[in-house]
Amino acid sequence: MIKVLRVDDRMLHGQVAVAWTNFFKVDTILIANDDLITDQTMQMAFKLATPPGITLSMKSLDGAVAVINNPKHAARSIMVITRNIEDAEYVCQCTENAVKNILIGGLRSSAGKKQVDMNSYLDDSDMNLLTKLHDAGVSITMQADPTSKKLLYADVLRLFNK
Amino acid sequence: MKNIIILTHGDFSKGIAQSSRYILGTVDNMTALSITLNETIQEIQNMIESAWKDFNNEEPTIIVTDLPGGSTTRTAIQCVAEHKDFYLISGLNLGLLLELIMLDLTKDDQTNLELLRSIVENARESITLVNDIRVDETDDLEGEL
Repeated sequence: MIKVLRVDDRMLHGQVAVAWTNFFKVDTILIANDDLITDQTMQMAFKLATPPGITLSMKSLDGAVAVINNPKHAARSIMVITRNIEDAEYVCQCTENAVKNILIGGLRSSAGKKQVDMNSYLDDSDMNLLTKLHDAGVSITMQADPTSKKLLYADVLRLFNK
Repeated sequence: MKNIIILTHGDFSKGIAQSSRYILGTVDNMTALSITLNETIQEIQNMIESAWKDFNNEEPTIIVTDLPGGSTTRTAIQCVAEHKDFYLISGLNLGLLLELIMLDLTKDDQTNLELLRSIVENARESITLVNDIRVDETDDLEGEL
């Protein structure tokens, strides 16, 4: 099952590899990113970041969708990671309610984005996609690490519109 | 639950404690102690005892030191000899410390030793010459689809 889908522009890094995998007790990390599959250096870095005993898979978006939809992997406890909300929404759309929780962490600043949380910035298109996911019944949380302040969809919306 | 005392030469202990909080957020029952060239062994031992008393609980305590052959470890060994529920690990690094922070110790000494042995083994294996990593072995689910 998919325990959580993490959206983080650094994808797999210390906070995610250590704190969140432990928090969600996952046995498999599935990174879904179209650039990653041709970037061997990045693949090596993520391999190194994977804690002992955890299975790492790095796939294109469609490859990740195939893993999620494959009943063979149903027994795994999976954390899916995407680099942005657009990719997260794509994965959700293609996997029929397999993803029930989205955890937004580091989405660092770039042109046209508004700060919502300490490490997370969104633009209109991100916010619209989150609303779409929320309306489809996906639980949305924004939280950097397991002990930091937790923002739910309504908080994110309020802070974004402030 | 358990307590952690980080004991190092200089401010390494405070720096690594800060780094661990950067990754895990709030961490309870962890104290960073620094030694300089000025303290006697007895004074360092008193620092450890006093840090332990400040935890004010019945939980086991892990002391982590930087160098197996340093005064940090030498002193900690003495404290461990005087407390049944003290454990001592030497060879501090961040990966090791994070694992220790996330570890739940029990009231059973043998169980605790098993858990700590496994963490030490993982930490030892995590030290890597990155140049030697082969890039064709990166996807654990390769060929499964």
